[in-house]
Amino acid sequence: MRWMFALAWLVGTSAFNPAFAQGRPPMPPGTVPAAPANPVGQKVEIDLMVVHATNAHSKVDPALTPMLKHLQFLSYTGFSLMKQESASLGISEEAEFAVVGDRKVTVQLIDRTEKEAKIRVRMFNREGKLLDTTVSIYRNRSFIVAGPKHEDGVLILPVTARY
Amino acid sequence: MHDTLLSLLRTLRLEGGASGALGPARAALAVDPRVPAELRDALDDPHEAAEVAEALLAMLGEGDSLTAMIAEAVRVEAGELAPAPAEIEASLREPFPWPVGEAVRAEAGAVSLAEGVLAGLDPAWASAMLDNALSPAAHAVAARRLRDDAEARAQLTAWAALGRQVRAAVRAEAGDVGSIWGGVATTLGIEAEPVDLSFPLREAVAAEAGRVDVADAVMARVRRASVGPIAPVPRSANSGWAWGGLALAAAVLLAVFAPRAPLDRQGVSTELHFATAGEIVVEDLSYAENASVQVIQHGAESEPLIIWVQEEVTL
Repeated sequence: MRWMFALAWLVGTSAFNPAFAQGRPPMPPGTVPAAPANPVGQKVEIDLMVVHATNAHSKVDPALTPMLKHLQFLSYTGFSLMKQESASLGISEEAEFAVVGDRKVTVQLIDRTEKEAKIRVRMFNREGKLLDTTVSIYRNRSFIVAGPKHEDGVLILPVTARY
Repeated sequence: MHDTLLSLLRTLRLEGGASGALGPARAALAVDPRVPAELRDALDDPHEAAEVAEALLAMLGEGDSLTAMIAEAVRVEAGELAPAPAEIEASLREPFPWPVGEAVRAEAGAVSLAEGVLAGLDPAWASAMLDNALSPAAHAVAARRLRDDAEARAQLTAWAALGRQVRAAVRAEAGDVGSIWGGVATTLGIEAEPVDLSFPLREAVAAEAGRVDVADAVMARVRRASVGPIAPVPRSANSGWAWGGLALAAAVLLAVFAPRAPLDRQGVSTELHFATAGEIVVEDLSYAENASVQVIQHGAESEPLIIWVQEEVTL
């Protein structure tokens, strides 16, 4: 019964709050935010995957099976994990990840709290900086930077801030 | 002495063989056995005296552009002359009793300056002669030079043949150019001969070029920081709040009842958990001028947030 109330509250709150889509949802009084299961370390592990999505085949790399459901809307049939790299960053430290096609991605840890990390992600191609964005993301959560063309498909780059 | 000579030549150029200035010369030469017969004949020619005077004046730097060119060519051919010593100048004023002409001709033998003179002339000179663009006197001099130079005549003949070939090639390649041929000929500086060509030029050019699609090349230079078409465009993250709430609730249920993900050595899950709309905020975003970026979230709020970058956007 308690779950039914919780579910109803969540639905009502999110459905009528326009800020929910992009902003942080307000926390109800007395509610504890998603508490980290582990103590905050000194470093934040930034993980970058390079996935090639294509219609040239329909093979899916076994390592990508868990996230396949999130990629199926992209209208590609084949997904292969080209590389995966990690870097341990302290505040203000920056890591550079080489991406295929003369591209690279740099990730800088701007700040970190017990709940979330603020990271700056920049993507470069051979002509210069392509993207410069700063995101605040909950710890141990991922988001995706995607779109650059590669061969007969596109690149999908899941970025994870893990600590 | 120079002024006296110039004055005499100018008189001969104007009056020709009928000039009274030639009277004493004729009288002296008629009784002088050393003077060759051809020189006496030359003095009797009423036109040649004027032409020779014209040519000599040109060599002395006086005359129209053609003769000036000839004079310059002769100077180049002859090289720089050192000024004559004073004693030579003085001796020249005294009567000269020896047959210098015969002696020089006997010593020099046959000398032809035509080749050297023609080689030093601007090629446009010969072309101008062909086009009857020279003065009568200049044309006569040029014709005389050409008469004695078979190689130059062959060269001019080759030029004329080349011109005919060029015109024929242009006609064959361009098709119906009757309306524009006059302008082209004027630009080329040649006579616009009437042409009778019925081949349609515009159709010929179009047929030769084929279909040309310049859109990509043009648009590649018109880069703007705007959103271009993306093949798989997911729905914007700014919609579907109500369904997002349901999805969030489902995510909460899933988080409670789902099996535990694998952990790394620090006890952190190595499985990807994509941030929901409430777990990530894009605080700053900029991108290159030739790119477009969309922040999208497909379907439910639990779906991953995607920053979709499209390179080389053109409109």
